[in-house]
Amino acid sequence: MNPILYIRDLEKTIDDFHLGPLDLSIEQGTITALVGNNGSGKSTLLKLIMNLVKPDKGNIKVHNTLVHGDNESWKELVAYQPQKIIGWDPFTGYTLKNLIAPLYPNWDDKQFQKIVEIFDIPLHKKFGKLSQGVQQKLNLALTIPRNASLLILDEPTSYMDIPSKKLLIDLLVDWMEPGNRSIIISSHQIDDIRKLSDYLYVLHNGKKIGHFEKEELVENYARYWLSSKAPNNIPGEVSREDGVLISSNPEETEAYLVEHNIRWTNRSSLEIEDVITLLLSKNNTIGGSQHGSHVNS
Amino acid sequence: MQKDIKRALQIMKPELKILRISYFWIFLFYTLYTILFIFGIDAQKNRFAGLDIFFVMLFIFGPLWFRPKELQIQKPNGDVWASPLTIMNLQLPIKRNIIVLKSIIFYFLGSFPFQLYMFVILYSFSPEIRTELDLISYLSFAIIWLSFGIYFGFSSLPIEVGYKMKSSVLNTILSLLLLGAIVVIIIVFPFYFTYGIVEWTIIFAIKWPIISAVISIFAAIIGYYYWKNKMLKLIKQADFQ
Repeated sequence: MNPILYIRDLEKTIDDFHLGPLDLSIEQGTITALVGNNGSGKSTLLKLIMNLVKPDKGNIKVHNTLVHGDNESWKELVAYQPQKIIGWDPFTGYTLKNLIAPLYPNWDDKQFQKIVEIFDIPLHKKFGKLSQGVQQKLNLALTIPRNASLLILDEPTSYMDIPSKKLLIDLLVDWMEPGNRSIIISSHQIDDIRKLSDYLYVLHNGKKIGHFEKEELVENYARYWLSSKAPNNIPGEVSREDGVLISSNPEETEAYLVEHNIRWTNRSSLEIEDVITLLLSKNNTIGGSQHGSHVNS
Repeated sequence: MQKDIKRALQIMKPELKILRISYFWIFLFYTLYTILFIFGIDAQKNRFAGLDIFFVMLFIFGPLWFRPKELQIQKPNGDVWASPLTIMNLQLPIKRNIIVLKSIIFYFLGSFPFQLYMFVILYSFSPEIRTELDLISYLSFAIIWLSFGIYFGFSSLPIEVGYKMKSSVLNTILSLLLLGAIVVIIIVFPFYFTYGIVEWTIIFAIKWPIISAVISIFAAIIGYYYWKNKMLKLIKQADFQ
């Protein structure tokens, strides 16, 4: 089956920032979290997908159509929520809905009304007069019901209150039910990543660290409390502090520890935020290719 | 083409709603300017180029003067200037040629009807104009300037759809120098060519009304396609960061 989104050898230079080369495939029915440090190129990648920014090299295809070509039919298949909303300020929610809804053949008006209700969005007020949190909610109310097969969300919850974030996660889980849709979500919110994502696409300063299956990635890390002295550079070792060793290859690490009669008092798995921190850590020299949970992208 | 225009009009409906007040101000402005023109036409014969400057600026930048702040061009990020509505539309399933067409219609609606209105009241209320130009010549004069509003006026449109321009002191100075040079040329024009620009177009309209009108319409058609293609090229290339 053709992927919903296909990116190959993508590169873009903006002033002194270089993004790529990037490869990525998004399959139907999956949620991919785009993770990275500030300025890692997450928003630029999403804008490249939307053809708002043009690539220097490489290809992007949505449902097998090149987004940088003359055929613009792919746009109906993508619903994009930008981080910074431009051009909406003078319009009310009603006006925006009347503009956007007819452009999408699968627009779901009931879903729109439901989101407006649960987030309590005032549709009669001008967008520019709303608080950032309400603007974000209205933006979501105008993006999710488009029912495009690929939903792209750039920091959708950064200004939202805690209950609203939870409601959004529920909404997105429901939205995925038909099974033929996909989401790419760029987020720094660990809850979004933990509760929603199936895959993680990690960027650091424009470079791809890796494309990982979330559960597998977490399973591939373990923390050991060593009770006896151990030499440096144990296989799989990622970091060590006060006798606590973190491994990205527990199998190899344990085999080594057993073989060399090095004992540990406790072993625990890592939280996803710890794994992301390790991946994005400046001193982390481990490239994505060394991780066993790499996704073939 | 008809389908594209229909689509463009459908998309610009919300924008037209918020432009209602702007259109009132444009109407008022053109009325005041026409009154000024009627009273100032004598001064122009004495090589006073003030009206010429205003006339030229009106036909190029007039439609942009009263645009609400939210619809004025911006530089969101990077070096690309664009209308916020262009950026908004590009994020939706709206084809680039429709966005370009919409920008042209948007500009046209803020210029052509008001310019036409100006020519109607100018002829109705200026005995001097009626004495100097018969109806055919006056129609030719109006066509010369309405066409100018297209082939020259549309030059202010590319910036709406993504124009790369670095903000620097040098660029600001160069832009001001260019504007200054245009003003100087208009001012010195009557001293080298006896009459001012507006006066010359009156002469052309009187002497060769049909030829002047036909050439102007032809230039307007070429201008329309030139600027439309230029805008399409720009919107395809621009990086809206």
